[in-house]
Amino acid sequence: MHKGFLILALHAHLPYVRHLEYEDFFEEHWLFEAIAETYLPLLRVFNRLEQDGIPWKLTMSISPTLITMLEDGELQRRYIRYTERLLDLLGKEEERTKGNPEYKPILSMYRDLHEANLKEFTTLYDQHILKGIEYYCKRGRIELILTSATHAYLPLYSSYPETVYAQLITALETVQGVFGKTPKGFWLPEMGYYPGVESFLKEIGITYFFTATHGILFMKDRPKYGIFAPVECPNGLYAFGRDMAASHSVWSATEGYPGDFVYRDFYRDIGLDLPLDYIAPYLPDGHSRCFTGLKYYAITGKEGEKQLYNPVAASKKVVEHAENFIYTRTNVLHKLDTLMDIPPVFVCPFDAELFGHWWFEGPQWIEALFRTLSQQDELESIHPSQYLKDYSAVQKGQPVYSSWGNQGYSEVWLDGGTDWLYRHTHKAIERMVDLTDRYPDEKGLKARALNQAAREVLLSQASDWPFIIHAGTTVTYAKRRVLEHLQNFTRIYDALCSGVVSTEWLTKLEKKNIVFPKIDYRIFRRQKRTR
Amino acid sequence: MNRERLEALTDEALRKLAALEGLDVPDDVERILLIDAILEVLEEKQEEQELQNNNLMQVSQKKYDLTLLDIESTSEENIETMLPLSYHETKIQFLLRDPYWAYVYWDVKGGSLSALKRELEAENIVLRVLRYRGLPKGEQYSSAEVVDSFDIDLGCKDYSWYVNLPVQDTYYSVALVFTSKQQEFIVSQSDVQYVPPVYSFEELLSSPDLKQNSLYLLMELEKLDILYTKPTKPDRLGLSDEALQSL
Repeated sequence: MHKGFLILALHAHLPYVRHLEYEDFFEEHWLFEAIAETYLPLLRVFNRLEQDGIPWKLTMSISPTLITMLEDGELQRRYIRYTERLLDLLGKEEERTKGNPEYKPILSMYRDLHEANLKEFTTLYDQHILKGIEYYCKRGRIELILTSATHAYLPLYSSYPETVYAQLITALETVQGVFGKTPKGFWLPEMGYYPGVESFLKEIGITYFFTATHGILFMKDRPKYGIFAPVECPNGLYAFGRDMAASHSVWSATEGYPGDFVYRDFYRDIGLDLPLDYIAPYLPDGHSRCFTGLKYYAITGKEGEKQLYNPVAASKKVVEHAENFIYTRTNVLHKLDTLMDIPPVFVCPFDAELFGHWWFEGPQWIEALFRTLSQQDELESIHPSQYLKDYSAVQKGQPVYSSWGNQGYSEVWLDGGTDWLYRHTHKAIERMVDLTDRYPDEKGLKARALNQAAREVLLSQASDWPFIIHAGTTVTYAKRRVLEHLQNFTRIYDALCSGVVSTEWLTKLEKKNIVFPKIDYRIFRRQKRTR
Repeated sequence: MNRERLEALTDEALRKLAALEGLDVPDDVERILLIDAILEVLEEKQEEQELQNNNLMQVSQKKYDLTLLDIESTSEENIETMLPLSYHETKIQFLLRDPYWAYVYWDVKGGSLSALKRELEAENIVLRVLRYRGLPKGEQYSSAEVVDSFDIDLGCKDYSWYVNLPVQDTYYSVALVFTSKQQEFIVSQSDVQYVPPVYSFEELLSSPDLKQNSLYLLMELEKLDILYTKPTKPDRLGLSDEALQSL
């Protein structure tokens, strides 16, 4: 019988959110929560697996905006402050709930989590948690892959080869700068694929990428092995199609594992539940309620009162769910035995922040998954590049336009609430390309202005902004960010056109939007348009 | 927006917000009832928006969740209007949204369709949707490859449109055309783009190779979250009923 392989791919991404002009800023908490609940707990999982000699292979992309934020000294200091405040709030909570011993295990769990986070962040990683990722890359456990610089949803920029190239090359330079290596794989933001993007990927040394399931299944030459084997594109790159059935058991809030009643409820947070005057000192602006990260209840069910969260029961369930995942994949593997001539591969790509932030027990599930895998020999975790090395191409074809968004295409990023922005982001690209034509070899102040213009153009393209507007969460902030970057760009454009650049204003802007410090505006040089 | 934020607003601001959210509020309604009603509408709106997304998107949005509702009111400012309506250039852009719909926006030098219409002495402005036969990669499209086309009448104040694409697995472009009885002026035409095919479960499972069909069954295709049927109307805010009927 053939062995089967599992590619577990995690994509860590947050948009560039750095607002030092405010003492404390709501949206920066996206980063702090992700560090506290996802990134550090995942590193702890990796450390435990390593200590226990458990074999594991993980594929991981970390977006360049997130890399920049994780390496930013000011944000690192703010994360420490965030954790110290949380520990302070925990102290208050321990006092408040003294008469209710049933809260003790939950509060102890949070204290252990955040104390360990603080210790490891400051001591073990010296505030640079990417060192942990780098360590496991070097040990061959993590295969680091690339994604675009500001997470632009590329199908909506397919008419602008300059920006696709600028997104990719900036990403590559950021990753090379921090990790000193050139990734072989690529995570298309939101799995947004359009035919032709692979030519840019090839140009920067990429050999494979991931696509949505139907990006492979809807090809003209229907692939013999579907998504159970990669597809070789006409230009020689490989596309790995997402195994939707495997992913579904993890993604679905209703039918998937994270919806189990014993797991921690995401929504019930003391930041929303407790009296405002009590919680106010721990809110970013001192008066607007938001999540604190302290959530005491289990999902329980839709009806009736929520039960208190039981960490021990949740940990047991995690193991059951990891075993179930492997059991169902192994069942498929058995059925595939007579249908395939090569070992099948199950491709499971996920947003990293699903694990820990939303599905609190997610990192434990990953740990249990690798531990369970190590106890059997039918299914094994593998890196995509290893699979490609071991098994030659068996299916060829041209993947089709697709994404993993709602209904499979672009409606999440292009709808009645967001369509207005493309007219402006497209225009900014055209103007940036014109500037590069006009100033091919600038130095000094003009080069600084051009570099900042390039940053602003890229920042305006983040897929997060239309996503947030579509989702209706922090809509005003997302719209303001698009506006801010476009206005900053236009001001630089106008200044360069009139020949007067305000050094003071530019310096201020450079300090504010300091992402990709080594950017060279010439990445926007005009590209030949082909079809 | 949460209860405390609403409680901090003046009666006038609350009424303005209620009106923006489409609530018909009697003059003598109690303040607390007004706040309840606004909260209910905002929560419903949030739930509706969540339901528009698949599981994956619903989970993805959690990483941007800090509170259950937007901290700032989305109705306070109309940010998109702070950007220029026109860049005074002649251009048309075709963005494929899915195999059934494309979003098209355009602009003209001078910024006004009506001024250009007068200048060209045209009677009508249309968006021409052109379908092409496929060409080998690298070859340029010309009018000789057009196999079908249809026109959508435009008003002088239109600047974008969602266009229904009746055929899949084919090539489309759009053109902005000014017409009069005597002649036509094509002022701008987009690139030609390929519109992918969409296959049903049955089609995916209809290979003459039975082994392949068995393998495809193992992929649990019923979980594919794909737009299979043509939507009856485009998801575009502010599109008039007449415009919808014309699609």
